[in-house]
Amino acid sequence: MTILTGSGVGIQFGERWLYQDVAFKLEKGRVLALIGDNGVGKTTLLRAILGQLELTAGELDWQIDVKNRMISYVPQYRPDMQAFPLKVTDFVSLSFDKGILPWLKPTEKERLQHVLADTHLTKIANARIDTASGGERQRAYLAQALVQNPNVLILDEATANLDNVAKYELMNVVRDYRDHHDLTTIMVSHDLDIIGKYADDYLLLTPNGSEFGPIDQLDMTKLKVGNQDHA
Amino acid sequence: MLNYPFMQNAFVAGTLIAIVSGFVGTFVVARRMSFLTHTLSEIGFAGASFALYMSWSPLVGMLLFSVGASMTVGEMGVKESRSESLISAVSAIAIGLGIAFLALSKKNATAATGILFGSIFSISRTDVVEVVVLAILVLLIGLAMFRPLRHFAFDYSTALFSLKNIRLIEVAFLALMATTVAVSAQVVGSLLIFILMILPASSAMRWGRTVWQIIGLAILFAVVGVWVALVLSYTLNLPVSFFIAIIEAGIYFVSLIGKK
Repeated sequence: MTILTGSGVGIQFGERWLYQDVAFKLEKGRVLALIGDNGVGKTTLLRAILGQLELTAGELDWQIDVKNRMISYVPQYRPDMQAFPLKVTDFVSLSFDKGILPWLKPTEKERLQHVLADTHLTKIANARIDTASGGERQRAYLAQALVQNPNVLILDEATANLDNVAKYELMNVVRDYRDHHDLTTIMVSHDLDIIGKYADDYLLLTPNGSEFGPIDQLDMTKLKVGNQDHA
Repeated sequence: MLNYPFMQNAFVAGTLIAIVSGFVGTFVVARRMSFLTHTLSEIGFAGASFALYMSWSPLVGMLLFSVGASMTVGEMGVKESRSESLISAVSAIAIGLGIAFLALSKKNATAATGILFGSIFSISRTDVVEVVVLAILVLLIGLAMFRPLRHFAFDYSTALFSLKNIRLIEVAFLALMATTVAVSAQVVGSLLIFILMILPASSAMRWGRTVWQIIGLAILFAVVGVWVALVLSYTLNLPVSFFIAIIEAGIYFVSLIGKK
């Protein structure tokens, strides 16, 4: 089932078009990799999907109505990210940010425990977030997104700056979670190994147009010019 | 000591102000906006002097100026890169205006000292009522907004994507902050706004492991500081602000050394 169809999507900044005529489909339960050079406007497209930015042209056609649509966002890990000495559980609970009840409902507590287990954080649930490793912290960010019970998860270069072990650990958690829940993922990544291993579809953005298709049709060699990854 | 009405007033107002300052201060420290509180209190100083000139209650002038400023300057100050020089310029104008209004009001130096360094013992019954009403209002709104406020203050980077009405929350937060500044300046004065809003929350940040623990400790540190200071001030006949400053800074340094 398709949950989002983008057609004729274009975003213009001043005089300059970042891209035009972008078409893609987001299929339920699949992982869509959003790739393209830095500065091509991947983040603006994400913001449009999140509803924070208007498209200049085209439209995003959702099959889930606004009421039932929950899109959660996992940012890029940066070692200098602000972190207070909150314990991991409390840090993850920051995402319970709707409603006026100052404390957590029993169903929310249950959900929190469930997600902590799924993200392998139960053991360090009472440890301080600022003493956690990069991989653990990034999984805490993932947990923050997952406790909101999203139907769409956005990973915005979520594995960048993570070491080789931590990045696969994070993506395995996402994949396992997806296998047991109703979750569709959009990931922005420059990491060809990660894209090849975890993505189902791809959307390649370039200033001259876009390319959309199943991941096995992505010509990875096109993305490598010289010895550099251009994904 | 507690038989004197001025002591009763001081204790009631002081306690409530400490509670509100600890509560709101936690979010201010978490959101890294400490310096904005200082600017707001300098603007509040201009407002209080203006009120003297107009023969209003200083609290009203302070509230008017600091809330007004938080909606404009605060919004600008939030965009971090420009903020430092901008804040210096705004502070300069505020203090300048404050001095001008003080001179125009032809009040004596005591009035100025009261605004700058606090005047909790000269607080009247009507002032107490004003303070109590405002403090309770801030607490109620803060509690009703607790969930979004917590995410906004403690993890802005993800709150940006999770909270749909983040601009609204930002504006409401700045208004709460400005009101707290105006109210807490009644005790510690506008020059020493840090000692009730920032220091207790910063100390609490060292010990607390959940947002509620941090808030609880911040309130505890603020309330204990105010109570001990009131008693010491009464017995030793030195300004309350002096004792609160020493106590809160003491708690902060102990927290700094005692807890990494």
